[in-house]
Amino acid sequence: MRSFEDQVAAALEDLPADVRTAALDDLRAALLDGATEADLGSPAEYASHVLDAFARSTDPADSEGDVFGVPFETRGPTDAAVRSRIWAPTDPRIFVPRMFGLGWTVNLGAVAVRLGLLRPDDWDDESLDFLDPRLLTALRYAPLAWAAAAAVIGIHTWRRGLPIPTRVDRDGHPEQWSKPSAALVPVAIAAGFAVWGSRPTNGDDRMIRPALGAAGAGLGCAVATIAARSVGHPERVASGNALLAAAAAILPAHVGLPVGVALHTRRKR
Amino acid sequence: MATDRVAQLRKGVLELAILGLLRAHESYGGEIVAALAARPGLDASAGTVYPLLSRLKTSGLVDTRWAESTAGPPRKYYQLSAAGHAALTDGTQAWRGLVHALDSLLEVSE
Repeated sequence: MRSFEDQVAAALEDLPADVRTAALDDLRAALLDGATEADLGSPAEYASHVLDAFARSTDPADSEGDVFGVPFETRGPTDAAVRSRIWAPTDPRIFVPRMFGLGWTVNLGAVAVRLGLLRPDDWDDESLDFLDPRLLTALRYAPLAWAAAAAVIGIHTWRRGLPIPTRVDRDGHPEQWSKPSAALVPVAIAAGFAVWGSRPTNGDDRMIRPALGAAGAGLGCAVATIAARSVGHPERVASGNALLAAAAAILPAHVGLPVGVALHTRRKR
Repeated sequence: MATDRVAQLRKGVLELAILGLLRAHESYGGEIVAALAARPGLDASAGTVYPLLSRLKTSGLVDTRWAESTAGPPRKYYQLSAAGHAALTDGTQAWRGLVHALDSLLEVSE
């Protein structure tokens, strides 16, 4: 059986490393001071107090910093509050600091409000609880399905043993070729996104994290497909843009579906 | 519901209360929990206080040190940093202004 500290540590996995270290150090101090579970609450309750304390210290809508006015961010992969920027109906800004790297991304919540699909106060902390748990489970594992598709396509392309055209001129003539093993690069990227996206989480992040994981894994799948279609047919590289555009629709679809179903279910009750 | 409101109010001022407790001397977590418990309205569980201490530490408002104890395992002591003293001064002024304004409002409405 895992210790109290281990259980709290697991529940705080998404916190930035320095915050998590500080919180666990103070938990050790509490235990050494003689605090018991009766004083601290259950591991989940203690972790909830930590998350609550730190949620009030920063505004997740603010970026980590900026370079000549362009926001930069590194906390997206580890901080659910930062990821929540992509679905923030109460934030009227369409463009918000992106979750990782330099620049901006789209706040799908603000877009939905502008389109009149919902009002800012239609969505709250409990909205996602109206979703059928089976749909939440399916969403959580969707990134793995995209990665599996990417793996099947990528490994098949690699085993064909043919060079892959990676750049063509305007007339469709190949300018650059890569080794067959290059077909495994999008597979690795998709796998990384899939593992990250299907990790357990809570709150709205149960929708946001898998959506981002599916978007990344889906992009990997699209690139693997473009490579597969182009082997022996370099003129098809250019037509891969349509596939990339389709991959870009994965994120709004993975957010729009659960939001639509949750709001519909809530209104019916 | 009234209890919820009191709990939310108290939660908001606990950080200031902890900074106030640390103004005079450094303390370990158990002492802080006990000192708060001795003041009606400010009592809070260890499960609430230690996470707040973590936040004060990462915000740079308190410094910490581990020290051997004569009566058991080592203890982690918390003391106000320079930024903590400044935050306490600002917080105290803001609190007094708030209390004054709210008292006036509540007296008028009674």
